[in-house]
Amino acid sequence: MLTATTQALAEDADVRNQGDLTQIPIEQLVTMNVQSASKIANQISIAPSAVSIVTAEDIKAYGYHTLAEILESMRGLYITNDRAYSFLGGRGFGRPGDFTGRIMLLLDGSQINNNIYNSAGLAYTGIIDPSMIERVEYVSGPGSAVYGNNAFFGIINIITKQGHDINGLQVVGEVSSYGGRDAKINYGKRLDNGAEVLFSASGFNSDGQDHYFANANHGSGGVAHNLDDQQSRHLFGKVEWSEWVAQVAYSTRKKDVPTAPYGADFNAPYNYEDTSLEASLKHDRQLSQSVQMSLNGYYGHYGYRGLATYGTPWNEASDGQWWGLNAQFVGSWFKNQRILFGSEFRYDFEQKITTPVSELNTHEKTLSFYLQDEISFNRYWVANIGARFDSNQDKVGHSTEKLSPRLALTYKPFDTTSFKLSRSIAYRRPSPFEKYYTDNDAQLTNPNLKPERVDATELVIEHHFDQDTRLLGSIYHYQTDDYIWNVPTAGKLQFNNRSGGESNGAELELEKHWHNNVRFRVSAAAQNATNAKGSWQVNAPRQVAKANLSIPFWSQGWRAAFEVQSYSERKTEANNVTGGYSLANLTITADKLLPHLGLAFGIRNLFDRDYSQVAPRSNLRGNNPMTTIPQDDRSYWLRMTYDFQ
Amino acid sequence: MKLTRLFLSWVFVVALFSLPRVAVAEPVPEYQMKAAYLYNFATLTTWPTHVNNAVRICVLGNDSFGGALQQITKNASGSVQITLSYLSNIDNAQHCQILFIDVSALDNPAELLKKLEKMPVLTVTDNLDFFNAGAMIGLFLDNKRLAFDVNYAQAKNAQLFISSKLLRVARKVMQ
Repeated sequence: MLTATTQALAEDADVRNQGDLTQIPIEQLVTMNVQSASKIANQISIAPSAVSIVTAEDIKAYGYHTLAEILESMRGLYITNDRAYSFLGGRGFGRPGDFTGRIMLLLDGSQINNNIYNSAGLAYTGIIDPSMIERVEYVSGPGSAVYGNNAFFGIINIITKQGHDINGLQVVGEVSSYGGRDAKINYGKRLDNGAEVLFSASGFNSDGQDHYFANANHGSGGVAHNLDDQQSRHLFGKVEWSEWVAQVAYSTRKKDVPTAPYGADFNAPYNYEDTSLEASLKHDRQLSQSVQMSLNGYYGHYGYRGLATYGTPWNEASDGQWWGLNAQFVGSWFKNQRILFGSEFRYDFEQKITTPVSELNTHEKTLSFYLQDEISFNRYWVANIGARFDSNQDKVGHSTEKLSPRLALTYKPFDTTSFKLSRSIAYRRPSPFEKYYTDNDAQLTNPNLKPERVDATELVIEHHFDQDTRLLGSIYHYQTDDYIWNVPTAGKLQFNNRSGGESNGAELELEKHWHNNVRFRVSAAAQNATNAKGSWQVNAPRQVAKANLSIPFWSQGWRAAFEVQSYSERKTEANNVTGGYSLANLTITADKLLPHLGLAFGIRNLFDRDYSQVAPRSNLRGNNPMTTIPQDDRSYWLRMTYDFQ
Repeated sequence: MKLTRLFLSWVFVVALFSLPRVAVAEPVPEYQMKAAYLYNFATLTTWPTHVNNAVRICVLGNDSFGGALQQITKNASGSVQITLSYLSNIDNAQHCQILFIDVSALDNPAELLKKLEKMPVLTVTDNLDFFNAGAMIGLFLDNKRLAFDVNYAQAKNAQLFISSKLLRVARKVMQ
């Protein structure tokens, strides 16, 4: 919805003069200057900040299998995998096991973080298959002024393809290392009346590996047999017609976990099953000459089932359901001012967590109002003033009201260069999990948790050397307060509000496209994240660098794509340091191996590096204590795509 | 302080690579201009059996116009009423007066042209290879302006009459 409005807005502003163009005779048109369309994708998300974009072309060239792989190529971001879930880190946050991403994930402008853990799936738990993604936009910096709760450190907007992008039936099959098999059926069409339909069904199975763990409690360690496999299924459907868009996304994934976290028995059944359903209906309409309206009704369902073995099976279940309505307007009554305003009502009507010893059943309602005024003083200066007011009421009538303001100033001395200085304050309410989860053993509840707060100041510089070369730089200072952190309390663990930590950093990204379709992107991020006592945060590497190069090679339709990702050392939960590492991935794609048949082949961890990632706190003790989790060696994958068109 | 030094060197780099621009009339976005050209092709072409006051423009392949095509259909004051249609299949092209072919639809240009042979449809493209293969009008960026080349022989074969007013401002006309 936000996508459509902004896009429509952009088109509107651009075609404001279109009517004039048809009045101009052809003799004059041929003498007028034309601005050629840039090959570098332009952002759709609403925010005057640093935006990085990965397009469908990149997703195809690099063969990304999940949203996690896509995010791993982006400036300043990193993924931590504990062999159960993938966690996102960047700009000073990134504690593994911290379910709350603190980055809001949106699917076509509708937020999809669940209402139990505030988390969103990234790897095979992700809501959508990458073959359905048109682009992914990462807007760094608090986005609460427009998007509300949980857009604490930034937003990631996944924009889906349209029917005509597939234009027929597409069947995909893939095999990969560790017994991986993947099958997809995609269908998309633009009908003669302009309507678009898109549908996708996919399934992935992997056997995983039998891992040897040196510290496991079997004397000299032990092997976790058959405990790394996973299965996932995804469904997606979208119908667009006239000013309406209806879409449904479904994802389910079950994974066995070999590491025996939370003190569970080693080499015994342990698995997680996550299911998500997101449905939305959007309607865009021009209400009058100067008012555009966008309505978005959405429904979400999240289910979690967990099994661990403590002598006997221990079962946990969470269920969340919510629906909401967001009415957004863009008013251009005043010349040089674009006013975005709206209201959202959200009812989280089901929030249940069930363990063998506890039962939580709660719900909450949130009513929000937001306003953002973009004022163009002249062709050089633009100011952006906005705020969002969220009023939340939980089951017991306890009310939380927060205002998240943002102020930004943009200076554009030339067409090619812009400087954006912004200050924003964002809040995040604690999730039901943080407040109420207990196992009556190691984890205590804390119903009095307060919302956490971030005060962010950022300077973004964007420069276009030419149509196809873009340089993006950002310098930021984040100050967090009442940060919600799971800490030892009275011999057990409890989520508590801790006084501020801070994160300072700088990021640089260069993207260039050449006319022969060579594409290059490089980014470097330096961050210094410390907690209230001034000591280094867990799992916050001081340097993160990425490079991506995609070139046509050998023959027509063939392409080679190479990417490198480097991370410096990180602090673990046990207060020691694990070494930095660099990873390389190589992908070869051939569009037309045979008529209608496409091929892709890839190698991940090309140089077979031995590397580990920081383990969550839940892996520190128990039958298999580990502070780091070893990751996969070099692996291969082979994909064939057949297009019936 | 390290951060200040970083920021200052950053500003220096940016300043080094920025060139001052001379104030010039705002250039028109590429695809808006292409849409305006299509409008002119519609008013300045005569079809053998079709009456000129309603022209259907069809698009084969991706719509890269970003809304500009929809805009030209809304102009009700002109002498010609434009309608817009998207084709999933070249076989339905006979209902079109103008067909814009996007590069995304060019898997098999020879086959496309063969099917369009003899159809009284004005074929327009912005892809050089396809124009050279035989499309009737090619739109190309030339030194910051949008130029168009006309394959007059091809148009004549399909019994399409292109006004001299249009041919006069074409960059190149192939007889």
